Amino acid sequence: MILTQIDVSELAPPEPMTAILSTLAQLITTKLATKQCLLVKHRRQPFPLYEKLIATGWAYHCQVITDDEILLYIFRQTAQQDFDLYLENLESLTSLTNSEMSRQFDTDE
Amino acid sequence: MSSANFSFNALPPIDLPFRFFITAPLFLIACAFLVLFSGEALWLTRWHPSMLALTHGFTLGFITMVMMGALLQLLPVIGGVGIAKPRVIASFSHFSYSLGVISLLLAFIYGQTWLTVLAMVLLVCGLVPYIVAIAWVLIKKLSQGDSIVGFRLAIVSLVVLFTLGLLLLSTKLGYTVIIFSYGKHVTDIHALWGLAGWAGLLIIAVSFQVLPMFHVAPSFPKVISRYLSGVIFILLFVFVFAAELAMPLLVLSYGVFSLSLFYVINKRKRKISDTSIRYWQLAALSLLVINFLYFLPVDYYQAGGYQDKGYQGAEHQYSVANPSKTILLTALFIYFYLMSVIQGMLLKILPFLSYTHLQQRCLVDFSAMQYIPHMHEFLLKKHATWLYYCHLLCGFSLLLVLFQPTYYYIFGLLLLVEFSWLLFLMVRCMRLYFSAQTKINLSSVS
Repeated sequence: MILTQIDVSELAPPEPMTAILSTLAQLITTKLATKQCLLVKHRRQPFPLYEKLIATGWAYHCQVITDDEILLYIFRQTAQQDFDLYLENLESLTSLTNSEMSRQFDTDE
Repeated sequence: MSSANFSFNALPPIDLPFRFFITAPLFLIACAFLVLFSGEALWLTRWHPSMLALTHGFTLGFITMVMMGALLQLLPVIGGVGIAKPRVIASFSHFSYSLGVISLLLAFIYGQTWLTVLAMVLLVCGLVPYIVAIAWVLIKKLSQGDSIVGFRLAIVSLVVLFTLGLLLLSTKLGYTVIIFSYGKHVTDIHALWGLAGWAGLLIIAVSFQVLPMFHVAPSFPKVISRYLSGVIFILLFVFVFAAELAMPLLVLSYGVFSLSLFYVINKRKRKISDTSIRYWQLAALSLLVINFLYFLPVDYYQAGGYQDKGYQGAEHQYSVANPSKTILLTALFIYFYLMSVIQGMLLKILPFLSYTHLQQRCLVDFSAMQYIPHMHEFLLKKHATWLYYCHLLCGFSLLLVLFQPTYYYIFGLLLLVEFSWLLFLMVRCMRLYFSAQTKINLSSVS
């Protein structure tokens, strides 16, 4: 996947939605549009956007980090398999990093 | 926690909340005429028929009407789930509820039995489907945020106050229920669950979401967002059995909320001057003033001589020198706290909803963005500022008339101006929305 990141967590409505829509509009016109994935850092889940995304051929995946921080991945529905693979790699990388950190922590102790 | 591709209900069509919003100022325009034509007599006691009509015009006609419309939109935005069959339920509820409130106000003024019965039937038809639909969402809600708990408690308060209201109306019709041997205390419970419960708790729950979201402010301190609504709700119960213990604690709880409001507002990342924020600050300041006045020695209030003996009581000593403490604090709470917050939120959500609904159509065709006006054009900043100053003037004239009822016409006229202006702002915003929508429709056809 080709990842594009935007941070809308310090923007007031409707700026987050404008930023997301304009970035998606750019991504859809690029070559390899089906490989593009937009990663949005936001303070809350943009629920009203979800159904519209699905209706227009986009898929999404939301990770709730804390009460005030979420990560939203948006990609073409046709790229679902690529995204699942990407997420699997990302998660194994994260768990590896965590286990390395805990080993390091044990060693320090 | 992760969520992926759940099936969420879309935002309900914008005309549904709009019809609740646009009806609300009409009730206060009617109330302005009621003030103008009732004269000084209206201000003699809280039990005066026109005063009962006036307070219910404010609380049911404006405050509850706006909240019903706002909840339709807020639940999908905040929680991701809206009510089922929104068009059928919202249309039916709005129609029945509006007619129910009109009948109730007329029933208070003219005292006709058939009007009271009609009001009861229409209010049941208007509120019950709405409450059931909202309760269904709140029970099934996917995530369990602090605001959702506040919404639940607010809806329970609405059920309690509505039930008590119906029982009070039945008493008026001659069907006395045993609990009404308590007399005035039941009316106080009804009023308190309405003001500090339904309206107050809903505003607190909404503020936890709206202030951080619209004003890029930090979240409320956890101890406030997690426990305050519950504490207030418990105190409302305690009030039923031990009013003298619960009331000061309730006032203090709202004082704590006002301090947390100031804290969150002052910690905003983008300190942009904004009328909506001024409304929130005015509301928070009002809660502090209410705290100060509530804890003033009672002798201060009795010096002027107004003693409220209750609905059935014949004794109504009255002096223009001092209004009763209850009336003064209630007026401050309704006009300077509840109405301020509601107007401040309307100034944010009217342009936001208009813009968001249009913007979402641009996912299909991004070029349609060119037809959407800038969000500030839906509600001009200077127009919002004028509304704020009008609200301040009108609020001060209300205080003046409480101390000196001969000035009732000033309050009546300012009320007329303020809510005619709010109505104009709403109509302007909605016209702009529908004209932009027409342009987008035409562009997509061509």
